[in-house]
Amino acid sequence: MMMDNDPLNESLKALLSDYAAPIPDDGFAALVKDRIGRRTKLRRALLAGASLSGGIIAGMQIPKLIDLAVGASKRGPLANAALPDLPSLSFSHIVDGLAQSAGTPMLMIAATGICLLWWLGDTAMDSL
Amino acid sequence: MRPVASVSFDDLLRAHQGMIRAFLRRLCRNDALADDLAQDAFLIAHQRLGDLRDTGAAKSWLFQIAYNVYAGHARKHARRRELFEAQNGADLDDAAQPAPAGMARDIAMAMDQLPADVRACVLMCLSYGMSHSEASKASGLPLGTVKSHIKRGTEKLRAFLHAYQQA
Repeated sequence: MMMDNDPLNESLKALLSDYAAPIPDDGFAALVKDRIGRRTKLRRALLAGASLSGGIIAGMQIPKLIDLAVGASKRGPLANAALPDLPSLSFSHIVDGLAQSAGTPMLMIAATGICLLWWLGDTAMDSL
Repeated sequence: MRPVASVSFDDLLRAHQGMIRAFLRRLCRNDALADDLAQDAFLIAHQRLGDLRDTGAAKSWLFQIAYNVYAGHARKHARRRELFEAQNGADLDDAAQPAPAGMARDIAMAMDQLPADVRACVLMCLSYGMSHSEASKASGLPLGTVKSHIKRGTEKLRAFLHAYQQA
């Protein structure tokens, strides 16, 4: 690399090799693997929780979807009549729909619960 | 370029933990903190293992992650350290460093006088045998800066060593 023939530099390299000598494992690798295992479990639990919450919210919309499908089939597949009113997918319409089917207090509790779970998950992930 | 398929995280961890921990201990000057940062670095490495394309570059890739973790920590705690030093007149990270003896102590003191980025470059190139370009990639510093850091650091250490041998 540089100045390899300089004995002073060789001494310096030797000293620095000792100075930064690799450290024995002493259980470090096991600690890292343990942390990885715990984070993986937590990530899976959070994913399952998020899937469950999303599934519940989506499931609550299924009756509307069935009503829409039934309405469309009653009109006939090739009818020239105007299409039935399609539900809006805007955030406010979804929240209104959930509030009507589950009640505003339940919706508030669910939203608070989701926020709390999010925060707990984030904090736990940082601490693991 | 060697294929990455044969690289397992366990192999990387076993092969490089000693160097990464020693590197971080010399940067932080606090063994417990350095081991915490090393754990964080290996967790990041585990998440990003798919990014490692060349098994031969694993060492510099891990050093890059470790240096970034250290730099992030240093930035985060710079203000806290300043306040601590203003109140106590000591470096916060020096607290848990056991004192080496003799020549080892003197070389440690000489290294500690170098700025952290200079120390990192000197360690990567002189202690761990990385090339200048590998050190540049790992530290995120331009190649010219790495070369000047190593030149400056080496000159200071050589001056110290020369004085030591004279004494």
